[in-house]
Amino acid sequence: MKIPSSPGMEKISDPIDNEGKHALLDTNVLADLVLYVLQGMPIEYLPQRRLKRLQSQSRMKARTILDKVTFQYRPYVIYEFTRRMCQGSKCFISELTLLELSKVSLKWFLDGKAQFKSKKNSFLNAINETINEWLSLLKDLFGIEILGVSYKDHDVAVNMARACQQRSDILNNAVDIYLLAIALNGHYSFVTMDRRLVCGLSGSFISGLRLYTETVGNINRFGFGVCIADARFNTGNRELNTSIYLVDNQCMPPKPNLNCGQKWCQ
Amino acid sequence: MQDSALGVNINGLNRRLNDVIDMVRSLIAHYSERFAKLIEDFEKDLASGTVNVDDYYNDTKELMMDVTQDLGYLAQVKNKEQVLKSVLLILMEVLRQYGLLKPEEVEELKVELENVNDINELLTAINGAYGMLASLLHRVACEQENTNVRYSLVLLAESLINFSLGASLPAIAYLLASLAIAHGRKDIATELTKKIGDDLEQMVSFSCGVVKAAKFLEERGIYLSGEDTIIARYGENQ
Repeated sequence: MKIPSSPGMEKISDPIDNEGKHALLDTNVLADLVLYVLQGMPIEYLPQRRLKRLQSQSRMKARTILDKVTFQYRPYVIYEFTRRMCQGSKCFISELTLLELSKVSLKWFLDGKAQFKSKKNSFLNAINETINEWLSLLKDLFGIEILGVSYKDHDVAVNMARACQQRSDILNNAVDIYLLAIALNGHYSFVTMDRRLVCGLSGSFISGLRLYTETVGNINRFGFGVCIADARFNTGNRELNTSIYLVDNQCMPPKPNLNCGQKWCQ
Repeated sequence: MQDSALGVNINGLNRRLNDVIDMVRSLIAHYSERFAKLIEDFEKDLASGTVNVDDYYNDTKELMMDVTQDLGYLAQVKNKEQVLKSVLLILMEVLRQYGLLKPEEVEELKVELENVNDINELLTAINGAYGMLASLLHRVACEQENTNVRYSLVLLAESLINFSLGASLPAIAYLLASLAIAHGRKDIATELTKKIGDDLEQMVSFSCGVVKAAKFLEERGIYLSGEDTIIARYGENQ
């Protein structure tokens, strides 16, 4: 699959309704789109292992039926938000998603549940073949394309990492830095459900977290469930900025109250 | 006389389209008699071929201005916990009827709810329940050969999603559009969705695209979730 490089400095601002915008979708957003569909499967058709897995995926470990139902909340907000976003903007994923999907798929193969379409190639090639086939399908179905990480993106990422004083944490958060660098360098709105990414970089590159609302005929949509924040970074004589959309059930009125961990890059 | 799809049996649900529309209608119109009346009038006008889309759109907008009919509003009223719990129990019963919860799970939930009084927790659970139903309708919709049934079900799913997102205007518009398509009036459905800044063809294409993409992985035994990818990014102890 040919992967295009990200553009340089197009002036693209932000949200959903306008034509000609670009949005970068995080790997977790793609994954939750899939989860949204899986959760609509009636129990009688759902394999028991899958059911247990769905229940244990919740951070609350699905203690109760209430947790089980609540767990569906985020995937459908992601579904609706992404649908609206990709209708008004051209949507992309980054090359990093290829790496992350391959890593996630490994455990399904290891579990013996995932099946190879062909066994002609090496094991890893077979996994990549499946992932590439899936991503081609996404391109055909939604026009979602893969964005190569350019050397310009890389330079921005390096400068961002240098700006962080706690350099020992960079290894654990390298993907976060690269994703934000790609979004900033190409002026792509960035859509994620990764609260740790937003929290970890807030105060340094991300600020102004607030509830996101979209107005339709004077009525607000997404009054809860989605936050928006500003991302900024000055590198050389370039001022980079874009918008970050976080889908999280802590994005609730009257204002988001994120249970944040460490702000590792200060 | 247009072809009606209301009586078509839906594979995978073992119900007629009419029954599914009634389910969504009762969940949404439950909150307001004026909603119910608006939908009833629309259906009569559909049958007689006298629907004026502008009038219905303006009536719906006016209704929204008059009083906020969404769940956020319900959460502000007196005895709000009780109101939300009763909404949740109605939804649980629908989830059971549609095979998304087991009967014993509904009973278990009733007991659990006795100790839950957090408004946000209840609202999130209600929204989750709407999401489960919407997901089922999307999934089933895209398996239907009859185009009108497929479009109608996708619109019903969107109606549920928007209602739970506090966007009652699009929710009602999608429901009316679903009814229009079920009565064979795709032109009216297209116009209604355009009124709220959406595109019917793109909506159905995205929905069925997501279903197709999910099934591609499902058939190969790969079950993705956002949580999985975050664990892959940071490790289990993030």
